[in-house]
Amino acid sequence: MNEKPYNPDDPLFLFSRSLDEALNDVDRQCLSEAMALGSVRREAEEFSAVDRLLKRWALTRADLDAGFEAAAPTQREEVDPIDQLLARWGRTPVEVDWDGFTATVMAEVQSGRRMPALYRWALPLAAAAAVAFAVVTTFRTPDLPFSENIVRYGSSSDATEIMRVALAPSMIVSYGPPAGEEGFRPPSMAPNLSYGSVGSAPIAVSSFDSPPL
Amino acid sequence: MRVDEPAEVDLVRRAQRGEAEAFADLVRRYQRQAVSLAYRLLGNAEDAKDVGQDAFVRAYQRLSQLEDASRFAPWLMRVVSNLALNFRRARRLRLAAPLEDGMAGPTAKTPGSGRRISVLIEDQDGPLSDELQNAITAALEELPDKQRLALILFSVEGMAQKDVAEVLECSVELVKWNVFQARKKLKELLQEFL
Repeated sequence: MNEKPYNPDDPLFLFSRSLDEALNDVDRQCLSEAMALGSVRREAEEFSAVDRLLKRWALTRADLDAGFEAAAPTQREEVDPIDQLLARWGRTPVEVDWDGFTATVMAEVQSGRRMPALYRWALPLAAAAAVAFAVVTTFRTPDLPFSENIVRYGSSSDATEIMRVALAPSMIVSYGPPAGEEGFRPPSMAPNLSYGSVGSAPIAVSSFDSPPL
Repeated sequence: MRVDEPAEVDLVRRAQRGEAEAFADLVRRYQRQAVSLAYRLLGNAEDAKDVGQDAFVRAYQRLSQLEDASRFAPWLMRVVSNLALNFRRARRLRLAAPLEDGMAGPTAKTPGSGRRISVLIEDQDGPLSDELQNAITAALEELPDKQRLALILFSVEGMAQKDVAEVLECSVELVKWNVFQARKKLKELLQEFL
Protein backbone atom coordinates (compact mmCIF):
# COMPACT_ATOMS: atom_id res chain seq x y z
CA MET A 1 0.00 0.00 0.00
CA ASN A 2 1.38 3.38 -0.92
CA GLU A 3 1.99 5.64 2.00
CA LYS A 4 1.57 9.34 1.43
CA PRO A 5 4.48 11.59 2.34
CA TYR A 6 4.07 13.69 5.40
CA ASN A 7 2.25 16.93 4.63
CA PRO A 8 1.44 19.11 7.63
CA ASP A 9 -0.56 21.51 5.47
CA ASP A 10 -3.13 18.98 4.37
CA PRO A 11 -6.39 20.47 5.70
CA LEU A 12 -7.72 17.04 6.54
CA PHE A 13 -4.60 16.31 8.52
CA LEU A 14 -5.33 19.46 10.49
CA PHE A 15 -8.86 18.25 11.01
CA SER A 16 -7.65 14.83 12.11
CA ARG A 17 -5.36 16.48 14.65
CA SER A 18 -8.18 18.68 15.83
CA LEU A 19 -10.05 15.54 16.89
CA ASP A 20 -7.19 14.68 19.22
CA GLU A 21 -5.69 17.91 20.45
CA ALA A 22 -6.08 21.65 20.62
CA LEU A 23 -4.63 23.27 17.53
CA ASN A 24 -2.56 26.40 17.77
CA ASP A 25 -3.99 29.67 16.44
CA VAL A 26 -2.33 29.44 13.05
CA ASP A 27 -3.46 25.89 12.42
CA ARG A 28 -6.95 26.68 13.68
CA GLN A 29 -7.17 29.58 11.26
CA CYS A 30 -5.98 27.40 8.36
CA LEU A 31 -8.50 24.74 9.22
CA SER A 32 -11.27 27.26 9.51
CA GLU A 33 -10.53 28.60 6.06
CA ALA A 34 -10.32 25.14 4.58
CA MET A 35 -13.60 24.12 6.15
CA ALA A 36 -15.31 26.92 4.31
CA LEU A 37 -15.08 24.65 1.29
CA GLY A 38 -17.98 22.26 1.12
CA SER A 39 -15.84 19.39 -0.14
CA VAL A 40 -13.42 19.64 2.77
CA ARG A 41 -16.27 19.97 5.22
CA ARG A 42 -17.94 16.83 3.89
CA GLU A 43 -14.70 14.87 4.13
CA ALA A 44 -14.17 16.16 7.63
CA GLU A 45 -17.61 14.95 8.63
CA GLU A 46 -16.73 11.52 7.34
CA PHE A 47 -13.55 11.63 9.39
CA SER A 48 -15.61 12.27 12.48
CA ALA A 49 -17.89 9.41 11.55
CA VAL A 50 -14.93 7.05 11.18
CA ASP A 51 -13.67 8.13 14.55
CA ARG A 52 -17.04 7.47 16.16
CA LEU A 53 -17.29 4.06 14.51
CA LEU A 54 -13.85 3.15 15.71
CA LYS A 55 -14.65 4.09 19.28
CA ARG A 56 -17.76 1.96 19.16
CA TRP A 57 -15.76 -0.88 17.65
CA ALA A 58 -13.32 -0.57 20.51
CA LEU A 59 -16.07 -0.82 23.04
CA THR A 60 -17.78 -3.84 21.63
CA ARG A 61 -14.56 -5.78 21.63
CA ALA A 62 -13.53 -4.78 25.10
CA ASP A 63 -14.98 -7.86 26.68
CA LEU A 64 -11.95 -9.90 27.64
CA ASP A 65 -13.45 -10.31 31.07
CA ALA A 66 -15.58 -8.56 33.59
CA GLY A 67 -12.58 -6.80 35.08
CA PHE A 68 -11.33 -5.47 31.81
CA GLU A 69 -13.08 -2.14 31.84
CA ALA A 70 -11.66 -1.28 35.21
CA ALA A 71 -8.20 -1.47 33.74
CA ALA A 72 -9.04 0.13 30.44
CA PRO A 73 -8.13 3.72 29.68
CA THR A 74 -10.18 6.34 31.43
CA GLN A 75 -11.40 7.57 28.08
CA ARG A 76 -13.97 4.79 28.22
CA GLU A 77 -15.56 6.19 31.35
CA GLU A 78 -17.38 8.73 29.22
CA VAL A 79 -19.41 6.00 27.60
CA ASP A 80 -20.54 3.95 30.55
CA PRO A 81 -24.17 3.77 29.37
CA ILE A 82 -22.97 2.10 26.21
CA ASP A 83 -21.06 -0.45 28.23
CA GLN A 84 -24.27 -1.33 29.99
CA LEU A 85 -25.95 -1.87 26.63
CA LEU A 86 -23.04 -3.91 25.46
CA ALA A 87 -23.11 -6.08 28.53
CA ARG A 88 -26.48 -7.33 27.33
CA TRP A 89 -25.41 -7.58 23.76
CA GLY A 90 -22.83 -9.55 21.94
CA ARG A 91 -20.78 -12.52 22.75
CA THR A 92 -20.02 -14.45 25.86
CA PRO A 93 -17.06 -12.79 27.49
CA VAL A 94 -13.77 -14.59 27.18
CA GLU A 95 -12.52 -15.34 30.64
CA VAL A 96 -8.94 -14.54 31.50
CA ASP A 97 -7.65 -15.79 34.80
CA TRP A 98 -5.32 -12.94 35.65
CA ASP A 99 -3.87 -14.61 38.72
CA GLY A 100 -3.10 -17.62 36.57
CA PHE A 101 -1.64 -15.34 33.93
CA THR A 102 0.75 -13.79 36.42
CA ALA A 103 1.66 -17.18 37.85
CA THR A 104 2.40 -18.58 34.39
CA VAL A 105 4.60 -15.63 33.48
CA MET A 106 6.53 -15.83 36.72
CA ALA A 107 7.00 -19.59 36.40
CA GLU A 108 8.32 -19.13 32.88
CA VAL A 109 10.54 -16.26 33.94
CA GLN A 110 12.04 -18.28 36.75
CA SER A 111 12.49 -21.43 34.68
CA GLY A 112 13.66 -19.49 31.63
CA ARG A 113 12.29 -22.19 29.37
CA ARG A 114 9.32 -20.59 27.69
CA MET A 115 8.96 -21.19 23.99
CA PRO A 116 7.36 -18.21 22.25
CA ALA A 117 3.81 -18.76 21.01
CA LEU A 118 4.95 -18.33 17.45
CA TYR A 119 7.23 -21.36 17.71
CA ARG A 120 4.79 -23.48 19.62
CA TRP A 121 2.87 -24.08 16.42
CA ALA A 122 5.56 -23.19 13.90
CA LEU A 123 7.88 -25.97 15.05
CA PRO A 124 5.30 -28.76 14.80
CA LEU A 125 4.35 -27.37 11.40
CA ALA A 126 7.98 -27.44 10.27
CA ALA A 127 8.36 -30.96 11.65
CA ALA A 128 5.26 -32.10 9.75
CA ALA A 129 6.61 -30.54 6.56
CA ALA A 130 9.93 -32.30 7.07
CA VAL A 131 8.20 -35.65 7.55
CA ALA A 132 6.08 -35.09 4.44
CA PHE A 133 9.19 -34.22 2.46
CA ALA A 134 10.97 -37.30 3.74
CA VAL A 135 8.03 -39.54 2.79
CA VAL A 136 7.83 -38.13 -0.70
CA THR A 137 11.54 -38.38 -1.37
CA THR A 138 11.79 -41.88 0.13
CA PHE A 139 9.11 -43.32 -2.11
CA ARG A 140 10.08 -41.38 -5.14
CA THR A 141 11.53 -43.61 -7.79
CA PRO A 142 15.00 -42.81 -8.93
CA ASP A 143 15.21 -41.57 -12.47
CA LEU A 144 15.42 -44.97 -14.12
CA PRO A 145 14.03 -45.94 -17.50
CA PHE A 146 10.44 -47.06 -17.16
CA SER A 147 11.25 -50.59 -18.25
CA GLU A 148 13.45 -50.99 -15.20
CA ASN A 149 10.62 -49.94 -12.98
CA ILE A 150 8.38 -52.78 -13.94
CA VAL A 151 8.16 -55.84 -11.78
CA ARG A 152 6.18 -58.69 -13.30
CA TYR A 153 4.16 -61.29 -11.51
CA GLY A 154 2.87 -64.26 -13.46
CA SER A 155 3.06 -64.80 -17.14
CA SER A 156 -0.47 -65.51 -18.33
CA SER A 157 -2.88 -63.08 -19.87
CA ASP A 158 -3.98 -62.23 -16.32
CA ALA A 159 -0.52 -61.19 -15.38
CA THR A 160 -0.24 -58.39 -12.94
CA GLU A 161 2.50 -55.94 -13.12
CA ILE A 162 3.54 -53.65 -10.38
CA MET A 163 5.06 -50.63 -11.78
CA ARG A 164 6.79 -48.16 -9.58
CA VAL A 165 6.30 -44.70 -10.84
CA ALA A 166 7.51 -41.35 -9.77
CA LEU A 167 5.74 -39.81 -6.77
CA ALA A 168 3.76 -42.95 -6.01
CA PRO A 169 4.90 -46.01 -4.15
CA SER A 170 3.36 -48.36 -6.66
CA MET A 171 0.84 -48.69 -9.40
CA ILE A 172 -0.80 -51.99 -10.15
CA VAL A 173 -1.59 -52.60 -13.77
CA SER A 174 -3.64 -55.68 -14.38
CA TYR A 175 -4.34 -57.11 -17.80
CA GLY A 176 -7.56 -59.05 -17.89
CA PRO A 177 -9.67 -60.39 -20.70
CA PRO A 178 -10.02 -58.19 -23.76
CA ALA A 179 -12.41 -55.32 -23.49
CA GLY A 180 -15.82 -55.63 -25.07
CA GLU A 181 -16.86 -53.91 -28.21
CA GLU A 182 -17.74 -50.81 -26.30
CA GLY A 183 -14.66 -51.13 -24.22
CA PHE A 184 -11.81 -48.83 -23.88
CA ARG A 185 -10.00 -47.73 -26.95
CA PRO A 186 -6.71 -46.08 -26.53
CA PRO A 187 -6.73 -42.44 -27.34
CA SER A 188 -4.39 -41.36 -30.03
CA MET A 189 -1.19 -40.61 -28.28
CA ALA A 190 2.47 -40.44 -28.75
CA PRO A 191 4.47 -43.50 -29.79
CA ASN A 192 5.71 -45.81 -27.04
CA LEU A 193 2.56 -45.34 -24.99
CA SER A 194 0.57 -48.37 -24.14
CA TYR A 195 -2.39 -49.11 -21.91
CA GLY A 196 -3.84 -51.73 -19.67
CA SER A 197 -7.35 -52.66 -18.70
CA VAL A 198 -9.41 -54.67 -16.29
CA GLY A 199 -12.45 -55.96 -18.11
CA SER A 200 -13.65 -53.03 -20.09
CA ALA A 201 -12.24 -50.36 -17.83
CA PRO A 202 -8.91 -48.79 -18.48
CA ILE A 203 -6.92 -48.53 -15.30
CA ALA A 204 -3.67 -47.15 -16.49
CA VAL A 205 -2.14 -45.60 -19.45
CA SER A 206 1.53 -45.31 -19.21
CA SER A 207 4.75 -45.56 -21.03
CA PHE A 208 6.86 -48.65 -20.93
CA ASP A 209 8.96 -50.66 -23.25
CA SER A 210 7.50 -54.12 -23.23
CA PRO A 211 3.93 -54.03 -24.46
CA PRO A 212 2.05 -56.81 -22.70
CA LEU A 213 -1.00 -56.85 -24.95
CA MET B 1 -2.45 4.62 41.92
CA ARG B 2 -3.04 3.82 45.57
CA VAL B 3 -0.73 5.42 48.09
CA ASP B 4 0.63 2.12 49.36
CA GLU B 5 1.54 0.92 45.91
CA PRO B 6 5.25 1.13 45.25
CA ALA B 7 6.27 3.62 42.59
CA GLU B 8 6.66 2.06 39.19
CA VAL B 9 10.18 3.31 38.74
CA ASP B 10 11.14 1.62 41.98
CA LEU B 11 9.53 -1.62 40.85
CA VAL B 12 11.35 -1.54 37.54
CA ARG B 13 14.71 -0.90 39.19
CA ARG B 14 14.16 -3.70 41.66
CA ALA B 15 13.14 -6.02 38.85
CA GLN B 16 16.25 -5.02 36.96
CA ARG B 17 18.26 -6.11 39.97
CA GLY B 18 16.57 -9.50 39.71
CA GLU B 19 13.79 -9.21 42.29
CA ALA B 20 11.14 -11.54 40.94
CA GLU B 21 8.42 -10.19 43.21
CA ALA B 22 8.92 -6.69 41.86
CA PHE B 23 8.53 -8.00 38.33
CA ALA B 24 5.41 -9.91 39.38
CA ASP B 25 3.97 -6.59 40.54
CA LEU B 26 4.69 -5.11 37.13
CA VAL B 27 3.01 -8.07 35.47
CA ARG B 28 -0.07 -7.61 37.62
CA ARG B 29 -0.09 -3.92 36.84
CA TYR B 30 0.19 -4.23 33.05
CA GLN B 31 -1.18 -7.63 32.13
CA ARG B 32 -4.61 -6.33 31.19
CA GLN B 33 -3.24 -3.59 28.98
CA ALA B 34 -0.77 -5.97 27.34
CA VAL B 35 -3.37 -8.64 26.63
CA SER B 36 -5.85 -6.02 25.50
CA LEU B 37 -3.41 -4.59 22.98
CA ALA B 38 -2.50 -8.05 21.72
CA TYR B 39 -6.20 -8.84 21.44
CA ARG B 40 -6.83 -5.73 19.36
CA LEU B 41 -4.05 -6.74 17.03
CA LEU B 42 -4.79 -10.44 16.88
CA GLY B 43 -8.52 -10.74 17.40
CA ASN B 44 -8.24 -13.95 19.35
CA ALA B 45 -8.21 -14.10 23.12
CA GLU B 46 -6.09 -17.25 23.41
CA ASP B 47 -3.46 -15.95 21.02
CA ALA B 48 -3.55 -12.60 22.82
CA LYS B 49 -2.98 -14.29 26.15
CA ASP B 50 -0.08 -16.31 24.77
CA VAL B 51 1.53 -13.30 23.15
CA GLY B 52 0.99 -11.28 26.33
CA GLN B 53 2.80 -13.91 28.36
CA ASP B 54 5.58 -14.11 25.80
CA ALA B 55 5.93 -10.35 25.98
CA PHE B 56 6.40 -10.34 29.73
CA VAL B 57 8.95 -13.13 29.57
CA ARG B 58 10.79 -11.29 26.80
CA ALA B 59 10.59 -8.06 28.76
CA TYR B 60 12.05 -9.73 31.82
CA GLN B 61 14.92 -11.15 29.81
CA ARG B 62 15.72 -7.76 28.33
CA LEU B 63 14.90 -5.57 31.27
CA SER B 64 18.52 -4.53 31.60
CA GLN B 65 18.24 -2.81 28.20
CA LEU B 66 15.59 -0.41 29.50
CA GLU B 67 17.56 2.68 30.38
CA ASP B 68 14.77 4.95 31.59
CA ALA B 69 12.82 3.07 34.24
CA SER B 70 9.97 5.54 33.97
CA ARG B 71 9.29 4.43 30.40
CA PHE B 72 8.50 0.82 31.24
CA ALA B 73 4.91 0.92 29.98
CA PRO B 74 5.56 2.12 26.42
CA TRP B 75 8.61 -0.09 26.25
CA LEU B 76 6.53 -3.10 27.24
CA MET B 77 3.82 -2.17 24.75
CA ARG B 78 6.46 -2.06 22.05
CA VAL B 79 7.45 -5.61 22.95
CA VAL B 80 3.79 -6.66 22.86
CA SER B 81 3.22 -4.92 19.52
CA ASN B 82 6.26 -6.46 17.89
CA LEU B 83 5.40 -9.94 19.07
CA ALA B 84 1.78 -9.56 18.07
CA LEU B 85 2.66 -8.30 14.62
CA ASN B 86 5.14 -11.12 14.10
CA PHE B 87 2.53 -13.57 15.26
CA ARG B 88 -0.02 -12.06 12.91
CA ARG B 89 2.25 -12.33 9.91
CA ALA B 90 3.16 -15.90 10.70
CA ARG B 91 -0.44 -16.82 11.36
CA ARG B 92 -1.52 -15.25 8.11
CA LEU B 93 0.97 -17.43 6.29
CA ARG B 94 -0.17 -20.45 8.24
CA LEU B 95 -3.85 -19.99 7.71
CA ALA B 96 -3.80 -18.17 4.40
CA ALA B 97 -7.20 -17.06 5.55
CA PRO B 98 -8.78 -14.25 7.59
CA LEU B 99 -8.47 -14.03 11.33
CA GLU B 100 -10.50 -16.37 13.44
CA ASP B 101 -12.56 -15.88 16.56
CA GLY B 102 -15.17 -13.73 14.92
CA MET B 103 -12.74 -10.99 14.04
CA ALA B 104 -12.81 -11.85 10.41
CA GLY B 105 -16.10 -11.22 8.89
CA PRO B 106 -16.88 -10.17 5.41
CA THR B 107 -14.22 -8.03 3.89
CA ALA B 108 -14.71 -4.32 4.01
CA LYS B 109 -16.76 -3.03 1.20
CA THR B 110 -15.20 -0.87 -1.37
CA PRO B 111 -17.20 2.11 -2.48
CA GLY B 112 -20.07 1.16 -4.67
CA SER B 113 -19.48 -2.55 -4.24
CA GLY B 114 -23.01 -3.45 -3.39
CA ARG B 115 -25.16 -4.07 -0.36
CA ARG B 116 -25.35 -1.31 2.15
CA ILE B 117 -25.75 -2.25 5.76
CA SER B 118 -28.23 0.01 7.37
CA VAL B 119 -26.29 1.57 10.16
CA LEU B 120 -27.68 5.02 9.85
CA ILE B 121 -30.85 3.93 11.55
CA GLU B 122 -28.87 2.52 14.44
CA ASP B 123 -28.34 4.51 17.56
CA GLN B 124 -25.19 6.45 16.70
CA ASP B 125 -23.64 5.62 20.04
CA GLY B 126 -25.06 2.16 20.42
CA PRO B 127 -23.50 -1.20 19.80
CA LEU B 128 -22.48 -2.10 16.31
CA SER B 129 -24.15 -4.81 14.33
CA ASP B 130 -22.00 -7.89 13.82
CA GLU B 131 -21.70 -7.08 10.15
CA LEU B 132 -20.52 -3.57 10.72
CA GLN B 133 -18.20 -4.72 13.45
CA ASN B 134 -16.67 -7.26 11.11
CA ALA B 135 -16.42 -4.72 8.34
CA ILE B 136 -14.45 -2.40 10.61
CA THR B 137 -12.19 -5.25 11.65
CA ALA B 138 -11.61 -6.17 8.04
CA ALA B 139 -10.94 -2.55 7.15
CA LEU B 140 -8.36 -2.30 9.93
CA GLU B 141 -6.72 -5.38 8.49
CA GLU B 142 -6.18 -3.47 5.28
CA LEU B 143 -4.06 -0.82 6.91
CA PRO B 144 -0.27 -0.96 6.91
CA ASP B 145 1.05 -2.19 10.26
CA LYS B 146 2.28 1.19 11.40
CA GLN B 147 -0.98 2.96 10.67
CA ARG B 148 -3.07 0.26 12.27
CA LEU B 149 -0.87 0.20 15.31
CA ALA B 150 -0.90 3.97 15.65
CA LEU B 151 -4.66 4.08 15.39
CA ILE B 152 -5.26 1.22 17.80
CA LEU B 153 -2.79 2.45 20.38
CA PHE B 154 -3.99 6.01 20.22
CA SER B 155 -7.67 5.95 19.36
CA VAL B 156 -8.64 2.61 20.82
CA GLU B 157 -6.26 1.97 23.70
CA GLY B 158 -6.14 5.63 24.59
CA MET B 159 -2.38 5.90 24.89
CA ALA B 160 -0.73 9.29 24.80
CA GLN B 161 0.80 10.27 21.49
CA LYS B 162 4.20 10.48 23.12
CA ASP B 163 3.90 6.89 24.30
CA VAL B 164 2.65 5.74 20.93
CA ALA B 165 5.66 7.43 19.37
CA GLU B 166 7.87 5.44 21.67
CA VAL B 167 6.16 2.20 20.77
CA LEU B 168 6.42 2.94 17.06
CA GLU B 169 9.92 4.37 17.45
CA CYS B 170 9.04 7.48 15.54
CA SER B 171 8.26 11.13 16.21
CA VAL B 172 5.00 12.34 17.73
CA GLU B 173 4.30 14.19 14.51
CA LEU B 174 4.59 10.96 12.58
CA VAL B 175 2.17 9.30 14.97
CA LYS B 176 -0.36 12.01 14.15
CA TRP B 177 0.31 11.50 10.46
CA ASN B 178 -0.14 7.75 10.73
CA VAL B 179 -3.37 8.17 12.66
CA PHE B 180 -4.55 10.60 10.00
CA GLN B 181 -3.62 8.24 7.16
CA ALA B 182 -5.33 5.37 8.94
CA ARG B 183 -8.52 7.36 9.38
CA LYS B 184 -8.38 8.44 5.77
CA LYS B 185 -8.03 4.89 4.57
CA LEU B 186 -10.80 3.69 6.88
CA LYS B 187 -13.00 6.45 5.54
CA GLU B 188 -12.54 5.04 2.04
CA LEU B 189 -13.01 1.45 3.08
CA LEU B 190 -16.07 2.16 5.18
CA GLN B 191 -17.54 4.72 2.82
CA GLU B 192 -20.79 2.84 2.53
CA PHE B 193 -21.38 2.90 6.23
CA LEU B 194 -20.80 6.60 6.74
